[in-house]
Amino acid sequence: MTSEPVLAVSSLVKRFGDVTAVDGVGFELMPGASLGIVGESGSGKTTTARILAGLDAPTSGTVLLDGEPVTGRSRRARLRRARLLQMIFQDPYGSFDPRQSIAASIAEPMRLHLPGTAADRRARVAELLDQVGLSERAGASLPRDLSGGQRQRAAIARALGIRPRVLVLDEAVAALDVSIQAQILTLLDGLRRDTGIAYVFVSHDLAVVRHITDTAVVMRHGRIVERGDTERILREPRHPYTRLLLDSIPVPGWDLDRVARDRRALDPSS
Amino acid sequence: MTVQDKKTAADTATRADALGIAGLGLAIGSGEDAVPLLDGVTVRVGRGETVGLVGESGSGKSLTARSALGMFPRGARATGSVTVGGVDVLAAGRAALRDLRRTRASMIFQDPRAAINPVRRVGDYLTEGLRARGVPSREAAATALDLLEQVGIRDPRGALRRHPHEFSGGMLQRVVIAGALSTGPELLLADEPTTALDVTTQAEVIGLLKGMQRTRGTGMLFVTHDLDLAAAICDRVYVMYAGRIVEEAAGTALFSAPAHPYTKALLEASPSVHGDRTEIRAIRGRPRSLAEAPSGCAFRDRCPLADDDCAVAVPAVRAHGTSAVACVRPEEVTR
Amino acid sequence: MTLTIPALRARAARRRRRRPLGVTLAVAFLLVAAVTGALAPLLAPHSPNATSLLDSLAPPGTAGHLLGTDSTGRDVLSRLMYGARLSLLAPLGVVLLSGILGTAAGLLAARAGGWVDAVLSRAMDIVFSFPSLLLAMLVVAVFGPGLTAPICALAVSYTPFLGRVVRSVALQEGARPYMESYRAMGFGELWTTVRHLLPNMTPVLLAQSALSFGYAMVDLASLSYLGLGVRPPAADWGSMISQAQSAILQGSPWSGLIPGLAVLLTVVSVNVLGEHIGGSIARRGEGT
Repeated sequence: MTSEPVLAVSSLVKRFGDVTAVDGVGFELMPGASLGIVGESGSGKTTTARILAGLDAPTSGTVLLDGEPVTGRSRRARLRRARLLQMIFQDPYGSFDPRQSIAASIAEPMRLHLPGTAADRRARVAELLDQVGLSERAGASLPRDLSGGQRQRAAIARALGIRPRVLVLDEAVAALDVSIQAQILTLLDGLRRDTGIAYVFVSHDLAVVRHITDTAVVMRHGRIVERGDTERILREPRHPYTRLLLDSIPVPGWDLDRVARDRRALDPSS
Repeated sequence: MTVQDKKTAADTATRADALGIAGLGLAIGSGEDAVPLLDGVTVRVGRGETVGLVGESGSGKSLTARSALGMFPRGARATGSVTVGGVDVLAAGRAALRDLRRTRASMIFQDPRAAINPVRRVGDYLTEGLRARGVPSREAAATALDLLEQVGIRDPRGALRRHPHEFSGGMLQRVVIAGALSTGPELLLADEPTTALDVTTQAEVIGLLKGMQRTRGTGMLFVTHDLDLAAAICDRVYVMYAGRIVEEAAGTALFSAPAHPYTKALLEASPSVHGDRTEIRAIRGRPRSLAEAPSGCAFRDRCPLADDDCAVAVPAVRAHGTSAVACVRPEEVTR
Repeated sequence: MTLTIPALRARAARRRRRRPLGVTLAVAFLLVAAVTGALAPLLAPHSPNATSLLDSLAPPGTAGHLLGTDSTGRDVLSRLMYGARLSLLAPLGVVLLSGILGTAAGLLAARAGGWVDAVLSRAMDIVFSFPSLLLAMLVVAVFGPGLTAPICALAVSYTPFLGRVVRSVALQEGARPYMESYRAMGFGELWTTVRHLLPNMTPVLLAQSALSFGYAMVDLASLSYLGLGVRPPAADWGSMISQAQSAILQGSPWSGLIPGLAVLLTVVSVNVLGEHIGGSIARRGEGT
């Protein structure tokens, strides 16, 4: 393993008309590391993830994958980016072609990115299904016949198929039941340990981010307001917004007055 | 309403409650093809009390809340009893149900945008219920203005003239809460009212909801999948699994001493920001609905403590510590 | 063998739900029309063009002429069978051609967006506002009678019907997360459009084409009726109606009513089928 970051983002800006969705975001991700991007709606966390995956083009700023910039929409650039970085979406049902079996969906990116015969792909699909804890029968099903948790496992299998170095997970467990969410988080933990893949974990949920990441950035209004080790951020938040986020999490004996105080501290005008 | 005169002494106690659901069963269809949805659900919400109803998908928590308004899925048959402020919901006719929904019980849904007609002004939305009750429009407008002020909408006079799309999700949920409280109900049914909102907005809306409820003495049934949220704001919490209540406990006791293996498993599966970082423990399998659940205890196929006793019958609810639990061996859970 | 009566009944109910009687009848009628048209030389009792002035205007049920004869004594049944060929194939040609054009235009407009979308959409609006029958008549006036020119003209004027539907469905379907997920996997626009978007749109395309088929059939029959379609003596249902005009005035409406009925039943059948397909899509949408 090199000591070079596998993903390096600097001065990322994205404007939609007059609105600046992402404003000077930068971070680095080492191979096998896990970085959380925490924020609420409108924080720019999802736009950042979409830029990483090439779904939106940044207005300015650079994204380096494995030390080389990814730019442009040419076929070569597109393939190189996808080869190194894959994305998992919040809605696992929507992210599959409803007419295609799970196994066929998992095999499809391999056809694009990897050499090999149909038999090779079948073997790899079987291996992947096993790796994410899906049965062969689940592989033969259509997306609508699987439960939410199974679909998210399938989405992970599909993303892992071409052995990317980075996985961007955009609210990947937010739509799942608590008991299923725990299964997926456990699966993700294991995969990172076994394969050395790196995660960019985008979420509004600090508890989940605490579990799955080593370091994190907190975003608000398109900017990073705090960054550091995830544990440190939770124990000694430095930015008033991080404090507000933490105090907003319900807990027995929840102090709503303190939340109101945090809000005034953050934005004295309101 | 002559039926009510013949109520027994036992029912007088429940009449004081904002909501009394006893032994509620719900099934679609009949005979062998019947699909069961709820079984023996008993929930009580006292006046001014906040009661949580927690469960994962398929648990039947929303169905239970809707039953308080007499809103059942098409073709469903209900057994047992549901009373709101003493009114028998299951026996109520169309007119009585309408009256109940208009005056005694209001509901707040997860998505405020789906709950408000997008082409009508907020003022129309707020005064509609009042005017349907015969309140003169001028008076209704004044009430609406007052309500918007109370839920913390800036420039309430201007807000009355605006359309739903001009509000953020959090602000719109405030408007919905104002609408729900406009008729002065005894019971507020809140079905995941903050799930679609940001965490910081959730805290605001919860603060508002609790404050309004406290000053008005409204009973609230708070439906959520979020155990932490329920424990944080509810006096008592019911935990549902596969169409049945599996545990009833005081909000704080839920965390310190879960009595049902499912409750405990949920807690162990949820990552937390508080305390030391602990490993989460996943529950195997997936949440079941009543129709798919195994015989006996519905949780037994996922439960680490289950053995043959659990398959015999649906465990009866019994007291354990300060909780009531439907498990044959709660001692092993709290151990 | 182990099926219980309720299970059988439930299964029968499912089958009924899947295919209502009207749809079965429609499919049956269309099959019969297509088969008799295809096998007309084998099945037809007479040559479609054999005239016999002695036998003219025989009513249906006459010995040797099951559906009677027209004013020149040609066998109506035989002409109906031969006529099915052109009467079904020509609208099919219109539907296929407009299907290709409309799908291409709609997909291109939806996926390219921007000025491409603007130009294509306005072009489709212009064609849409031009009466299809008038366009076909103009084309015939320029190129002379025959079926090829009107088929092409109708295909062009029907393109916006499908093009607009395809565009809006493609926009809707293209916004579904799975299309994005394929982009994130590194697939290009062409691949995702052809391999994923198009197959997911086929039910809509089929339903819309069925509707166009009905319109095309009526329009082509109208052209034949006006003497601008097939060249006599070749039979198609529209020209049969047209040639029956004088017979109708003489009090023998059969030779016109029978092909008229064939047109009516075909259009109704195709529409019933189209609506059924469209309905199944809507139900499938609810299910997800």
